[in-house]
Amino acid sequence: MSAMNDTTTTTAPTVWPALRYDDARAAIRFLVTAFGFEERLVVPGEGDRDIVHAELRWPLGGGIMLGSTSHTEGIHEQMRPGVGWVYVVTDGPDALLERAVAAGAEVTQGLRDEDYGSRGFSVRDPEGNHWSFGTYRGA
Amino acid sequence: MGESVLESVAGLPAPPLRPMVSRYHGYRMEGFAPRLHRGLPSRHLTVIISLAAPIDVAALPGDGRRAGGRFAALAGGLHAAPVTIAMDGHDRGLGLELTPAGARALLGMPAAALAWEVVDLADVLGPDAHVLVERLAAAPTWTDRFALLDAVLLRRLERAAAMPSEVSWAWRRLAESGGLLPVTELAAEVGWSRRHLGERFRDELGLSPKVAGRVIRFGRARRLLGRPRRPGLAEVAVACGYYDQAHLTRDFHEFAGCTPGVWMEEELPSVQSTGGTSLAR
Repeated sequence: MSAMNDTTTTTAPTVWPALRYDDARAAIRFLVTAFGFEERLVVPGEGDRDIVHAELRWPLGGGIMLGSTSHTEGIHEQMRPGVGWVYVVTDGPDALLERAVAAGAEVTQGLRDEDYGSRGFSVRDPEGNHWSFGTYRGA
Repeated sequence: MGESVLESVAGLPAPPLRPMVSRYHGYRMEGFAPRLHRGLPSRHLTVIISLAAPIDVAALPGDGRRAGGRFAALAGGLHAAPVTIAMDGHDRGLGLELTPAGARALLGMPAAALAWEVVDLADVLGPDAHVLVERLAAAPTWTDRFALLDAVLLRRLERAAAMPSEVSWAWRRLAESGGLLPVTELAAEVGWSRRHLGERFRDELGLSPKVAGRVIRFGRARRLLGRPRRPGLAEVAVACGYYDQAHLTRDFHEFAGCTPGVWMEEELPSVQSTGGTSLAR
């Protein structure tokens, strides 16, 4: 029996586009019904329409992360709807930050341990695009 | 048979509910063969709401293979043996992981009242249950369904009657230790005799502290085994505080009714497999 025939799960994505919405709940509804994304994780905040974090998968592989703009803590303050932002999974955030800084990346949030268990940092590339790196691998 | 679909969505409840409900879980299965699913013991009480055919509980946990019944929505207490659920391969619904504090606050009864049992959700929630199922079925996304649950449960929270604080403390400490804290130490921490703690603990939760600890330890092991990059059995045994792999296997027989190998083969990936996903908090 070949191992390939047994494989039913797709590899979890390690590069995630991240988006911000004023009404994240409505955005999820749109992305699911209009495009066919599938919800995988939903973390609500205090308010009615408030989503701290959500992960949607694309049926063929890959996925996106999104959240409400009402969360302005730390790096999130710079992320408005329409601003591109990419989250990349790394097992070595400390070394990667050094490497990125040496190459000229502008640090927007230094290394920190998040309460959900991730360790990571955020930078802007020379043209101002936002990147976050962390150990959290998605739900 | 057409293409099979397995959709599994995790959600956290609204922040004020989190001490009572650890997690929501949405599931949808299509095109699978009918099979018997093992509902395993864990540190949570379970609420399951079907959005498809009624949930067929083939056998309640424990000796005697007591018959369960069919439920549009059910609530199940803590237990220390598997529940058998007959799945028809086209299942859709929501699961809630309730803490013992949640049993009191949301169901209005101590967890012990449901221990080793499965009951109709309407019997504990009242008329809320039917309305809830209808509205959940009409909601377009899981995000909307989780929000509906939040709204209904938040309204019920005001009736909350707290657990006795000593028992609550002992339960929390036991859970935090992965089930490993000895009962003597728990008793010393709350200032009760070992025997008194045992009695009060059982009155509230329906399991003895010793059995509860073993269920919590087992739950950790089974979550580790459900992870995408699954550690070896020996590694899991050590990480969870078992003497060795044979010890873990014995607990599997008691709590799952099969070996770890059979469980992984037959239950992963399944609804249960997402028990291993990490939740961003």
